[in-house]
Formats: sequence, C-alpha cells, structure tokens
Amino acid sequence: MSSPPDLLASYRQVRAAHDEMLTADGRIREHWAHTGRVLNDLGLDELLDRRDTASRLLDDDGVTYNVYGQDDPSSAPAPAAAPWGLDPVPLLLTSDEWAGVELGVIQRAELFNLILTDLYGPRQLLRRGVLPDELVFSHPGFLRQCDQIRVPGSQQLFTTAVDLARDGSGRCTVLADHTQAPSGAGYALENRVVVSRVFPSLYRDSQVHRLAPFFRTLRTSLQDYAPPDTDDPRIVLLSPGPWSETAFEHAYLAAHLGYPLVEGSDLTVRDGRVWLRSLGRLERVHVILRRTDAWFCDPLELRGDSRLGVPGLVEAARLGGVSILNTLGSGLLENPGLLPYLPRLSEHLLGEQLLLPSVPTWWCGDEDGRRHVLAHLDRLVIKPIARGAGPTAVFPWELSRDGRDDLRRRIEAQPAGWVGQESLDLASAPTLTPTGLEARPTVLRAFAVARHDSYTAMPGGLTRVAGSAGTSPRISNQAGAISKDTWVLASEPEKLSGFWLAAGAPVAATDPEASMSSRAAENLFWLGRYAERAEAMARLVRTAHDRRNDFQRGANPAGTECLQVLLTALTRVSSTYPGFVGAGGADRLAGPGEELFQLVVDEKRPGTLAHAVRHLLGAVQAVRDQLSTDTWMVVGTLDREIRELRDSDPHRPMVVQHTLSRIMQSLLALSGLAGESMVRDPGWRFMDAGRRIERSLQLAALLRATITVERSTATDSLLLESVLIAAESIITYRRRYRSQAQVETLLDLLVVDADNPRSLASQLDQLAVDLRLMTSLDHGSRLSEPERLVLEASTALRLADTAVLAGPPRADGSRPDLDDFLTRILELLHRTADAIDRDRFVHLLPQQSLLAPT
Amino acid sequence: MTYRVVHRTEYRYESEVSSSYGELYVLPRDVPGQVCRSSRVRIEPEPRDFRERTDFYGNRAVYFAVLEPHTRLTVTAESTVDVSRPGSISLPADQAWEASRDRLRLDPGDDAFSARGFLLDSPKVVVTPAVAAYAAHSFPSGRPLTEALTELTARIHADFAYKPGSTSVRTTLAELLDGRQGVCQDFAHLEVGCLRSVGLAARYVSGYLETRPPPGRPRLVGADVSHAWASVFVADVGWVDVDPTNDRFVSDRYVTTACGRDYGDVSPLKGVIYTESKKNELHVSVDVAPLERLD
Repeated sequence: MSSPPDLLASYRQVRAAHDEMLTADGRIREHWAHTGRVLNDLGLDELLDRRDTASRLLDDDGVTYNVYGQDDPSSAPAPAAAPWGLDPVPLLLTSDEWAGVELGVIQRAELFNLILTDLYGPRQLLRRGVLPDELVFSHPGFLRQCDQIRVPGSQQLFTTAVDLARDGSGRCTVLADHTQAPSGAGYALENRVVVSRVFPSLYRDSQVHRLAPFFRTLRTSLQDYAPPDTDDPRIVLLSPGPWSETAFEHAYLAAHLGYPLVEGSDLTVRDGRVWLRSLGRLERVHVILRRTDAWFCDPLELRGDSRLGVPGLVEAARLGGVSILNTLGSGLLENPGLLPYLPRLSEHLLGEQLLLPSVPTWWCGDEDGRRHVLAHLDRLVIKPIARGAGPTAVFPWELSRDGRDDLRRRIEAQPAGWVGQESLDLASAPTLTPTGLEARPTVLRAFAVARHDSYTAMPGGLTRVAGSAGTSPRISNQAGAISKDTWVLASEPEKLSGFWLAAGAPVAATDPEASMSSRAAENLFWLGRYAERAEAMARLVRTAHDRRNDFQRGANPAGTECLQVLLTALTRVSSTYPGFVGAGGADRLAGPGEELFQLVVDEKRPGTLAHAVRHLLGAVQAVRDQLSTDTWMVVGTLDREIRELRDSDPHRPMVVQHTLSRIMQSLLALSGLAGESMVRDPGWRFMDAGRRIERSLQLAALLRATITVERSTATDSLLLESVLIAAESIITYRRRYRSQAQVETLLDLLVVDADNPRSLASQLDQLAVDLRLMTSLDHGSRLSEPERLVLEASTALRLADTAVLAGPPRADGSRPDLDDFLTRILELLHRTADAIDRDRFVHLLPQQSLLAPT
Repeated sequence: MTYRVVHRTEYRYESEVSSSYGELYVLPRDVPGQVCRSSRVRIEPEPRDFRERTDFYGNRAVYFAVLEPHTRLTVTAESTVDVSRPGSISLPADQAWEASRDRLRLDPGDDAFSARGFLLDSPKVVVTPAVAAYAAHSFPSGRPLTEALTELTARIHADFAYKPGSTSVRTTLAELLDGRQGVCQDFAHLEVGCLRSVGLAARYVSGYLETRPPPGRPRLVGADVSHAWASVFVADVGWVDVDPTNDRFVSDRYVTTACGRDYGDVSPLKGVIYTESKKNELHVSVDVAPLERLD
C-alpha cells in the first residue's frame, strides 16, 4: 500500500513570481499553515469530491455567467449560460496584509470621488492643467449630457472595484478600476456561501472576516442617497435583462438586498420623476442601483438605439428627482490614461501619497508617453482608453510584423485613444486540479462602497484564477477564468456589529404590490401557464406511449382506435398541426414514433413539451429575484433533463418514457414549491391564476378531442381510462365508480366535482379567488372583466346537467351538446386570459427614434 | 436687423403613438452680434412635461414628453432676434494661422478653455488622413488666417455640389469626400474637420437664413429650412462664423440657434416614440422674416 502523495510537498511555484502560499525559498507562509495542513490531511480525492460538491451547490443555486462570442458581444444575442467556476481552495490574507490593501482601496475610492466630482462640476483639474483636456474630452465615457448632475451627499462615486495583482515583490498593484457599474460583489458573496459549506470546520476555525456587514452598508448607504423629499425611498436594481453577462448577480443582489429587479421598460419618467410600472399604477422610484452601462440608460439623450433604457432618465436625474448610482458618466474614471496622473492627483486633491501603485502605464496622448509606448511595442500591453468594439487589450508580441505595423499606425493616427501598460508576472496561488495543487496566476477584485463621508471596503473580494497554468496575462471570465473565495483571517474573533435585527420602532413593511413590476407579474403568470402546459403535455404523451406499448402490434382494433384518438387529441390539444390530423396525418398515425418524439423534444415548435419547458425556464430567469433559492435546484434539473432528452435515441421509447417521468417529477416539485414555499402575495396570485387557466384549458381541450364522439364500447372504455389517467384522476374514479367507465360519471368527476383538484370546477373556483386577491385596488362590488368571465364559466358549469351532456349521441356518434358546452368553456377561458393580459399588464408599443433632418 | 423666426416641425403617423419624448434645439441663443428678444415653443398635443435648460455648450435645449395617444405631433418655435454681424473679419492681414493655433493652447481664459474642447474629433467629425490632406492645401505655413479661411470656404463651395437627398445624418466625412455632393450640414462638418485637422478649434453651428431677401439682394441657398455652418476660434477675436454652402462669412442675414461639436450635439429635434407606425411623415417649414421697424 502506498501512502497518498503529499499535496503540499508536490506544490511548486512555476515562476519567479510571488506565490501566495510559499515564500521565495519554498516554505509555507505562516498564515497558510493551518489551511495547508487541513488540505493535506483531506487528500486529493477528498478535495476533488468537495470540489464536486461545490459545483453541485452552485448548480443548485443556479449560479451562471453568460458567455458571449469573444470579440463581438453583439454577435450572440442568446449567450450560453456557463456554470460559475469556483476553486474551493480559498485565497488567504492576514489581517495586517488586508489592512494595507483596505487603506489603499479606500483612499483610491476617495480620490476617484474627488476627480469625478470635479470633472462633472467645476473642471478645475482641466482649467489648471493638472489633467490634459484631451484625456477627458476625447473619452466616450465623459457624458456632456450629465454635466453638473449631482446626487445628495459628498460621495458622488457610490461604489468602485479595483483589480489587484501582486508584483514580484508581493506588493499590491492596481491593474484596472471599475466605476461604471462594478460587478462581482454578488459572486463573491455566493462563493463564500458555498465554500463555507464545503469546508465548514476549516472556515469556522479560520476566523474569517464576514461579508454580510459590507452588504448591510451598501443597503443603508443607498437609503442615504434618496432625494430629500422622501423618508421612505423606493430603491430598484436596474439590469439590462436576463441576457446580460452578470444577470445572475443582478437577480441575486436584488433578492439579497430586497429591492425589485427592474429593466428599462419597467420604468417611466413623468413630472421630472421616475416611476415603476407596477400592477395597475405607477410607483415613485427614488434611487436606482444601476447595472446597465450609462450609454444605454436613456435613448433620448444617450444612445438612441438602446432598447435597455428609459427616455427622460437623464432629465429626471438632472432635476434631482432620482439618484442613479453609480452616477451616469462615472465610467469616465475607467480610462486607463488616468493611471499615470494618479500620484500627482492624489497629492493635489488629497495631499497624500498614493498608497496603491497602478500598473506602470503610459498614455499616448502625452508625447513622452507615446514615444515610450512606440519604442517598447514588443513588451507592453496596448489598450484603448475606452471599452468599445474590438478587443480590450492587444499583446503586440502575439502579432505578426504587419499586425504590429498596423497597430503602430493606429496609435499614431489617434494617440489619445491608447495606452501602453507593462505586463506583470501575476502572483500565483494554489488551485485544485485533478493531479494536485497547481500554482495559477490570480487577480483579486476588491470592492468599496460609500459610507458617510468615506468608503467601506469588502473584507476580501472576488479572486479570479487563470483557467490554465500558463503565464497568460488574461484573466477574464469570458476567457475561462474561475474564481476563489477570499479569506481575510481575523487575528481575534470578530465582534458582530450591524445586526440585521434592528432596535427601535417596527419598520412598516413595503407594500408587496408596489414593489413588483408589471413585467414581473406577467412573467409569473406565464411561469404558471407554461408549468401546467408542460405537465399536461408530459402526462398526455406518457398516456399515448403506454397505449402504444399495449397495442403496438395492431391486433386489437379497439386498442388501435383508442391510440389513434389519443394521438389526434395530442395534436389538437397542443395545436401542433398538421401532426396526426392534417396533411400526412394518416402516415404519422401508422408510424407515430418520430412525431411523438418530436412533440417532446423540439423546443422550436410551439406546443411541444420542450417548447413549454424552454419558455418556463425563460420566465423563471426573468423573475429569479422573486423565487426561493430551492427553485433553482428544481429548475436546474429540468433544464438538464430536457437537454438529455433531446440527445436521446428516439428509437428507444423506454428511455424517453423514463425521462418523461423525471420531468414530471421536476414539474411536480416546482408546483410543490409554489404551494409550500411562496407567500400568497399578488405575484403568487398571478402565477396561480396562470396555472388554473392553463390546467382548465388543457382539460377542456382534452375532453373535447376525445369524448364528444361515441365509439365502440371496447374503444371507449379504453379511451375513457386513458383520459382519466391523463387527467390524473383514475384512482379516484375507480374507487368511486366501481362499475364500467361512463361518460356521465367521468364528467361528474372531471368537470363539476369541486372537490377534485383536477376538475374544471375546482380550477375555476381557485381562479376566482386569485383574481379577487391579485390586486388591492378597490373596485367596490363591481367585478373586473376577468372575474365576470370566470363567473360566467363557472355558472355554466354548475348549471350543466351531465346526464344531458353525456346523453345518447346522434346517429353519427356525435354529442353536439357536450361539444358546444366545452367549446363555450374554452372560449370563456381564452377571453379570461386575454382580459388579464389586457387589464393587468403594461403593453409598450415598439420604441422608435425620431430625428428630424435639417 | 430684427427677424421673426418661425420654425415648424410636424410629424404625422400612420397609427397611434402612445407617447413621445423629445429634445429640441430650436430656440436661438445669445452670441456676440445676436440677442434673442423673445421666444416660445408650442407643442401639440399639450406635453405633460416641458422644460428649458442650458446645455453643456451654453445652448438652449428643451425637453418635452407628450404622454397622451396621438397621430400627429407639431412643434412650433417662434422667436424675435436682433442680429448685427459684419459679414467679414477684421484681423491683421499678416497674422499667420499658426499664431492663432499656438495662442489658443496657452490662453488661460475661460473662452479659450471652452474653445479647446472643440479641437478634438467628435462622433460625426472624424479627421481622417484624407480630410487632413484636403485641408492642408489651404494652410501652407505662414499664410494669414483670414486668407486661409476664405480660401478653404471657397474651395469647399467649388468642389462640392449642393444636392439635397444625396446624404443623410449618418454620412461620414470620408463618404462625403468620395461623393463630392451634399447639403449644408455636410459642408459645415467638412469645414469643421479641416480646421480641426490643422489644430484650430472649430464648432458646428445650426441656425437659419433670412428667407425673403429685400429687393435687389439674392436669395441664399438653404433658406426655408434650418441651415448649418462652421465657426472657428480666433485668438483675441473669438468665434468667427463661415458658411461654406454660400461661400461667405456669416452676416446679419443669419440667425444662430445652437453650437456644438457636430450635428449630433444640436439636432433641432430628436425623439423617442412608442408606436406600431411604420410610416412617419415629416413636414418642416422655416420662415425668417425681417420685422418692420416701428420708428
């Protein structure tokens, strides 16, 4: 028996660069000793197991990062949602080390705040020549439209992030600043949640500084920015939508902070103020935590082609009716051309030496800078001063001679648009790989948020690790980087402060209706509808499969006929014509395998199971801030199963059957969550109404497609049994009516029995309750349009005499009374859905730009 | 001269527009040689929001929002403006253009500081090597600025055909140099680009021309619509306006509305509307009439 390899002994620094765990002479640093020992004792196999656990936890929480095509973000409208990569081995920092970094990060935020305040105010830095005009005026992040706009308080810069690396001597250096709409804090929090669960005792023993206080500061600071005319500010998080790179984080933060997640179309400007299009009314918004790039925020004054913004938003900000954070225009500070000027600016504005050096940078708009850059093209990283089309960094040594000449010409033609930066050997940190711990380059993103007259830094941050061991200077999530939790080790147990539990008078709860956008309600409604549609489809397909297995040989005419009725019912209920009904229907009935498979897996075709699941997932994405975290466990499984099904073999129906069962399980789990874990607020009412309407529609359509025609007794007894199975009522039916199946008793159970949760009567009753409670708007005793329609349907149902409806058919076997009755119910249900859509949801017409030519 | 300016813009939509948000640059600002005595804007239907402000460049911008359904939107701006501009510049005949360029860089005054913002490329005026080459011809070293300016303006006038509809608001300078035809806006952009290419601060000016000239005076090209020209910052003198479309210095037959880096900063009307309408009809009329003197 060989002893397992020693993980620490085999860990090697690969380069001369600083290593986080090892000293230059290969000894383990003191603050890594405990963690190193624990990792070593656990051994490689156990660590890999824990890594899998971490991945599963992230998967269960639905943590993703949307990856676009490398060069052109616009080329891929629907990006791939990549799972969030997390290395379970944390990055460790001592309290002392961190104290230095923290001071530097806070100082930098204060400095950037003063620069921002000046550049959108008196511009003394330019007038006095401290900064060259061109550096500011030629930067597309300088938004002249937003000049002189101020938010309350002295901190015009609300939040900032800095990417930090260690140079060879271990000193922290800033690689880049993020001031537009910094991302990553939410991912850092999620990393902490996961790693502390994967290494519970190591985490406990290590006395790690907690992240929660940072987010509490974020919350209270946001309140402080509210315009002075309110005591009870409404705060929203503005996101570009579910396709944005960091969409997960937007929803995660919104849910964590308790603010509505909104998109541009959820907001509107009038009377110089911003309003949330809420359910049936407009609700004032006081503070916008902005995650949409400024250029896209107002199609009137900023980018005219933006579909992510709110026309008039700049005007509202100008009038002080809303505070937008970070302020529109803050992206100017991301200009790397500022870096060479920071030491001087720090002296000038703060009277202090700059604590954190920036990576050595030369701005080509300055003559000496340009000369230096052009003379050292072989070893400097070249970057445009603003993000835009094209790559964010060019590595001239990777270019051909022609490529380099071309770059040189572009710099010479437009020098102010470029900087050259030294390429740092990034410090490495131990990262788990299948073969052991590997030294990989890392970058730490630290975060600061305004607090009173200064800033608070998140203790730790988001550490990112290169996707491979090489010396690639690129560490970006788009390029496959993964992340680490960052532990700042407290020297003594941390005192808890800033409790969630607050003293003082009870705070009034926010009216849930007022904090929900009409778009969120609409998505919840459709979430309910698609969930039921998927479930009904899965049941019906499964029932058809079963009959097919029973009577595949075609020896039993009744069995064959029953199968054919079920197949045509599938087409009719799901409106997937021609299917088994229209052109080519007879051929498909003779060999139904392929069409049955397509009805399950073809997500592009409306009416299929996959289509319903895909739209269900889309609706879930759009309202993820409203749903419990457990939802993700279920939704993630659903997503995987539908993909598995697509890749499965259509000629092995057993596999399809099996997967169908698992999809059913997920759908049932989802409806269980909706029933057991969601507050009955108006949002829930919309979702439930969607379910009730859809279940009723599916059932009425199924009945109409099957039992409105009488067939032979043998066929009908098989068919009625199948209908009861598909409607999930067979057990009750058998228990209650021991005799042979009859249309009349079937109608009693599936249509009029309000105690059967699968009956039309019970669905309409529940729908009526949902409609009454989905709005607190007082209509007096007047019924709304949807309520009237539902009352009409349920009255018709209650007055129906099932004996008459099921009575003796005409000579041709048809039951016109039953058909008319079901047709009427279907029509009323469709009109109810339309009325909800029309009355309750906001419908914006398409946005257009006007530009009058001279 | 005193003018009464009426600038009317009307949109007709094929189907209902639920709301319109707009930004207007149709009110004359005060500049040396021009005072706006009175002005007002009427918008129909009645806007829910309406505010005038002064923008980054000192222009008068109007924000409005019409929040009731409509199929027609009209914006009528009326103003009374006094202008007194010589239509020439008085510079020492021998002052080289480089002197103005160099003095701008060092001038600590506020006017020069603002002017320096107009040295750089802007979204619609990108100085390509072709633009610089076109300009270089007019700026040999040591040439007096007045002469260079006059010659550049005359050259643009001669080299480019005035042809409405041949270009759009998206036409670039490179395309203009290839096509050799355009409208006042294009010529103004080109002149601005040429001036910037040699290191002079230049801005784009939008405004109007006298529509009905008194007997004996020719009607200028570009009357009846909004007009545009270029302006260059001259040390010790200030902004000097030239009109390449009519090959002349701007005189008291011109009314200035707004100045910016290019058309994009000061377009007379831009907006965002919400509608299914596929066809939007636009009618613009401008009338610049001299007022009878009441003496």
